[in-house]
Amino acid sequence: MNEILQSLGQVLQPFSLMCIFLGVLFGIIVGALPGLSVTMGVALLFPITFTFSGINGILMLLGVYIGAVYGGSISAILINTPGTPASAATVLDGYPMTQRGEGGKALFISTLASFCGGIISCFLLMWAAPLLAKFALQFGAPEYFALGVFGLSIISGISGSSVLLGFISCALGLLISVVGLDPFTGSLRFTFGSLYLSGGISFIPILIGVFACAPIFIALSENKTDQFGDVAKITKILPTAEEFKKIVIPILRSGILGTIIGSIPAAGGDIAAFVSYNETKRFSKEPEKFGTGHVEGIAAPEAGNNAVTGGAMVPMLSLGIPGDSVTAIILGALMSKGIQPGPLLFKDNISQVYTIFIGMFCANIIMFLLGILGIRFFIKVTRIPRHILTPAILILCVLGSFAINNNTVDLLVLLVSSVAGYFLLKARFPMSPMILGIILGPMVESNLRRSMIISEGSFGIFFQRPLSLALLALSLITLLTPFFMKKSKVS
Amino acid sequence: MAHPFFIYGGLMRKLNLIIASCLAGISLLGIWFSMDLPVLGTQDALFSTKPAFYPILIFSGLLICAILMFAQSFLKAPEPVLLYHKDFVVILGSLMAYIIVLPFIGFIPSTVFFTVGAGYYLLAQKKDKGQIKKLLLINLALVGALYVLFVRMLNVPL
Repeated sequence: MNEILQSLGQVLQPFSLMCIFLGVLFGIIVGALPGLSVTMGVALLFPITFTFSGINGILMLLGVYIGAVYGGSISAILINTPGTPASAATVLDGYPMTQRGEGGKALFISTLASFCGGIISCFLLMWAAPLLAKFALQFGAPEYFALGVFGLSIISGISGSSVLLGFISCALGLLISVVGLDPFTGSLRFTFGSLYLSGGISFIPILIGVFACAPIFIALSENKTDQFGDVAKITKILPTAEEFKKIVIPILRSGILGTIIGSIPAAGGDIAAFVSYNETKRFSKEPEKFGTGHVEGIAAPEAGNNAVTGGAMVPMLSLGIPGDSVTAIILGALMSKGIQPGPLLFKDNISQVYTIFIGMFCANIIMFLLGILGIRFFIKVTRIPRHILTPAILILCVLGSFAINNNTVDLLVLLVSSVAGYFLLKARFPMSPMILGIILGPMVESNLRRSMIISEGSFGIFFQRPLSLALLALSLITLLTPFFMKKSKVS
Repeated sequence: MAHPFFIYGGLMRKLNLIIASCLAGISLLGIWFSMDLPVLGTQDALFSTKPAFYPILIFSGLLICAILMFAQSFLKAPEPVLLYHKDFVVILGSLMAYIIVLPFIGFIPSTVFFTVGAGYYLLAQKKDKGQIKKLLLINLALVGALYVLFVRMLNVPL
C-alpha cells in the first residue's frame, strides 16, 4: 500500500503530469497523420527523455504510445485514412458515419472506447501481469501460426457482400508480404534484381494508397461535390441512450480481448482491432449494419487497439521481452534509468512498476479529455471544401509515404497502389483483407515453416497442441459464421 | 449520347473478366517463378520446409479464386460502372507530376504548385478573385505548416 501511495505521489507531481500531457498531445498529432507511426512518435521523443530525471521520461513515452494509438482513429473517421495500421478497422464504420454527418458522434464513441479499452487493460495489467505472461509464454510456432490464421479468418466478416473478392484481396496482401528476403534461407524472392524490393515492399504506402488516395479518386470520378453535409452540431456528438447501451458490452469484450492479444509478443493493435471488430459483429444483434456506420463497429476496434497498450507491457515488464518496436524503445528507456524489466522487477522495484501503471491510467484520462475537447476542432475538417481538402490530403499521403524510409521509391509504391486500389474498388474489392494479409503474412509464413521444421513436415502439429487446435477451430467458426447467417436470413 | 468519359453497359462484367484473367496470369507466373527459387541447403528437405512452399500455396489459392471469379462474372447480371472522369484524370496526372518534380525543384515550390494548381482546377465554376486569393493564402500557410512539422520537427529530408 505504501508503494502505491508513493507512486501516486510521484505521478501527480505537476512536472510528471505535464510530461504525460505533452506526450499524449504529441502522440495524438503523430497518430492522426497518415504515414507517421506510433513507433516513430515514441522514437522521436526517446532522446529527449534522457534529459529528464527519474521516471518522467518513461511517463512521457507512455503518453505518446497511448495518444498515438488513439490518434489514428481521427483521420480514419474523418478522412477515411487510418493514421496508424491499428485504426484500419475503424475506417469500416467510422467514415460512413462521417458521410452521414455524424462524424462528431463517431469521434466521441472512438474517444470513449479508446479510454475504456485503455483503462480495462491497465486494470488487467495490474492484476494479471504474471498470469498473462505465463499464458503468452505458452505460445510457440504452431500457436502463432494458428493466431495468424485466426486473424485472417475474419476476412469473411469484413468482406462485405462478396467473400470471394475478400479472399482474393487477402491473397494479394499475403503475396505482397512474400516479396523480399526469405526469412529462413535469406534468398531473394520476386525482387527481379531490385535493391528496393530486396527489403520487402513497405506496407504503409500501400495502406495510404488504398485507403486514402484511391477513395479520393473514386469520389472525383463519381463527381461527388464538396462537403459531407451539415457539420455535426454539439447535440449530435453525444450518442443516444440506446447507442450507449449497445456499445457497453463490445467495449468490455474488446478491452479484454485487446489486452490478451497485446500480451502476446508480436501481436499488435492491428490484429486486436480486427479481431475485436469481428467478434463484436458475430455477437451483435445487428450484424448487417456493420460497415454502414454502426456505433458498435467503431467502439469495438478502438477499445481493442487501445487495450493493447496495457497488454503489450505484460511481457515487457514481467519477462523483459519487448512485444513490439514501441515496447522495445520503452524497455531501452527503462534500462537507461537503471530499471531492469524482468521477473525480479516486481520483487525489487515494485514502486517503479506501480508508477508505470498509474502513469498509464493518467495518460488514458488525459487522452480522453484531449479527445473530447478536441472533437469540435477535429470535426471542422469535414467542413473544409473539396478544392482545399483534396490536395491537402494528397500532400499528406505523399509526405507520410516518404517519411517512413526517406525513399522516393515508396512514392512510386503509393502511386501504383492508389491506381490499383482505384480499379479494385471500382470492381467492388474490399481493401481491408488486403491490409490484413500484408500485416499477418510474415507471421503466418515464418511460423508455418518453423512448425513444419519442428514436426518434420507433419501438419498434425497444429492439431496436437490444445491452444493451436482451439485457435484453428475458432478460425473455422469465424470463417463460416457469415455464410450460415446469410443462409438463415434467406430461409 | 454517352459522355466520352463515362462507360456504360456491361462493363462491370468486362472489368471482372479482365481482373480475373490478370489474376490467373499472375498466379501461373508466380507458381512458375516460385519453382525457380533457390533451395540453398534444403535440397533434401521436405517440400513444406522449402522457400517455394508458401508462395506456391498462396498463388494456387489465388488461381482457384480467379477461376471462381471468372465463372461468377457470367452468372451475375451486367452492371454499368463509371470508370473515368475528367477530374480524376487531371488530379492523378497532377499528383504524378508532383512526385516526379519533387526531388528536382524542392518541397516548397513543388507543393505550392500542386496544391494551388489542383485547388484552382477543383474550384471549377466558382472561380472569382476572392476565392483564388483565399486559395493561395490557405495553401501557402498549409505548405509552411507542413514544412515546419516534417522538415524542422521530424527531420524528414525533403
